[in-house]
Amino acid sequence: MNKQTVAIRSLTLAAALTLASLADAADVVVVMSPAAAAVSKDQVANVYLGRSTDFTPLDLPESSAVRDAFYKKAADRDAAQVKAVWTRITFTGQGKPPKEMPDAAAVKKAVAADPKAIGYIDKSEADASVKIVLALP
Amino acid sequence: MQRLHAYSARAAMAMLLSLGAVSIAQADITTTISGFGTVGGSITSNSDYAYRHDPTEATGATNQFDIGLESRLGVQAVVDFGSGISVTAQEIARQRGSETFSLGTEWLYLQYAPNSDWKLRLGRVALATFLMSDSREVGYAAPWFHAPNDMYGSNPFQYLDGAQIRWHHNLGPVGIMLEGSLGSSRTQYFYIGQIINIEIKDQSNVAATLDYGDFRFRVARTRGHSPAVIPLSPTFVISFSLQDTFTSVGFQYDNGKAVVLSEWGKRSENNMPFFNEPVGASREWYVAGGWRFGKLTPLLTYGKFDPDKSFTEPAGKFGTWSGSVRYDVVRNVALKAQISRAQAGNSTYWTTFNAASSERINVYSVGADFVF
Repeated sequence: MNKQTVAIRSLTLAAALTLASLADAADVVVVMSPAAAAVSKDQVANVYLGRSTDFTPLDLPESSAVRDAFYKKAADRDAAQVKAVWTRITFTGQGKPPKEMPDAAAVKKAVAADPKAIGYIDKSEADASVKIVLALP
Repeated sequence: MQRLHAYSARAAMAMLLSLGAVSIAQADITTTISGFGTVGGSITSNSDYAYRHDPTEATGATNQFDIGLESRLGVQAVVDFGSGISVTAQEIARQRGSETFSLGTEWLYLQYAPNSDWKLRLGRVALATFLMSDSREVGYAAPWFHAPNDMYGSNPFQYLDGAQIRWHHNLGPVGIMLEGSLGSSRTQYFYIGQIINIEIKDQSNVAATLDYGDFRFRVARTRGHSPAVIPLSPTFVISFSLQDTFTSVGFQYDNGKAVVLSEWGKRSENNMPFFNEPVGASREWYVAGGWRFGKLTPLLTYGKFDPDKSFTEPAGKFGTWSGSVRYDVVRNVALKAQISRAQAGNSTYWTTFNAASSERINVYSVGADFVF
């Protein structure tokens, strides 16, 4: 195997890995405590856009690609639009934006402990401590 | 002297102990501070009429670029004491009257929320006359750079000192909000060369909002009842009891791509003695529509201000075209530009208007809205 082939192979591998991680980031699941019933996409969108107080929503950090993918799939809105929506709610004294959790593990822990809490994580992070109430492939 | 020292030491000790108590209690108290602001300005195509973005502003932009007019900075603090009790304060520095920048308390209220449906507020609250009343200073939350004056310039009252009750409930896919406020309100209004201080002793507002998915409908009625004194000359004034009613209907649709906003309003007042006409009476509306192309949102607005014949101005019909664009440049910052084409007779746009003129004047504005 000459040097060039190795380089090409590692490039291909890198590209494959990048594609895989992109696909992972795009596979978002909405999770609640194990006893929860399934929810609809509209319900999730309403809670995360501040229109409904049925559940207590949890966010991932603003830098998270899963967060951007979630809002695009669940509410068809990008980060700036979601920010504008919550700006209006915050500065009209009607509520405060979803609590920001540091990572998926923290989301799972919070959701497992509170039947009203709702969160979203990458599908690969889901385990038995939480229930997938909506898949956003 | 010695005794004084002893006293001081004891006082200091007591203070330290009490401070200790406060910091323990602070364990369940959360304070959230957030802010918003706008840096921007306007210039017009005519030196005779000064454009203002708010009827409380006594100076405006002419054919020299004015930066103070549109710029403002707001800070909001919410102190949550737990058990549903919180205090909210909102301070805004902006141009008021003829002062370039001054600080003012927009809100300062104590809130009791026994559950997620009810909110009881006491203090200074937003007077929710319009669809966007309570976020009118928060540029980042709006699609335009400045709201259509035809509608938003027709009522200078922004807050109310008194009590407010809000009920919000979700019935399946429909969100319902009912709101009632009662108290007094005051404002500075600039009218033909002079600043008029108005205080409404007895002001009330009722509003109902319906949310269904991407749709929002709102109806509101704001009523003011107050003794009024209108000076006709230094020696002659008219005193009477003023009754002012402002009815408004609002509609909003936003599905993430398309945005449509529309409001309609009507002001009616009782007649003044001698003149047998109201101090002010008008009908106003606007329709705005836009589309999001990624980070870019162009918006087209048509506003209409139709004053009826009143003590302050003759009857007229004025239409205003506005085109604006919002560019979400980075997170928390939106750059905006707007062109409005308003008529010289439209009193909601100019510090001094000319009711007889139908001349059109362009207002060019640029700025950045941010939140933190």
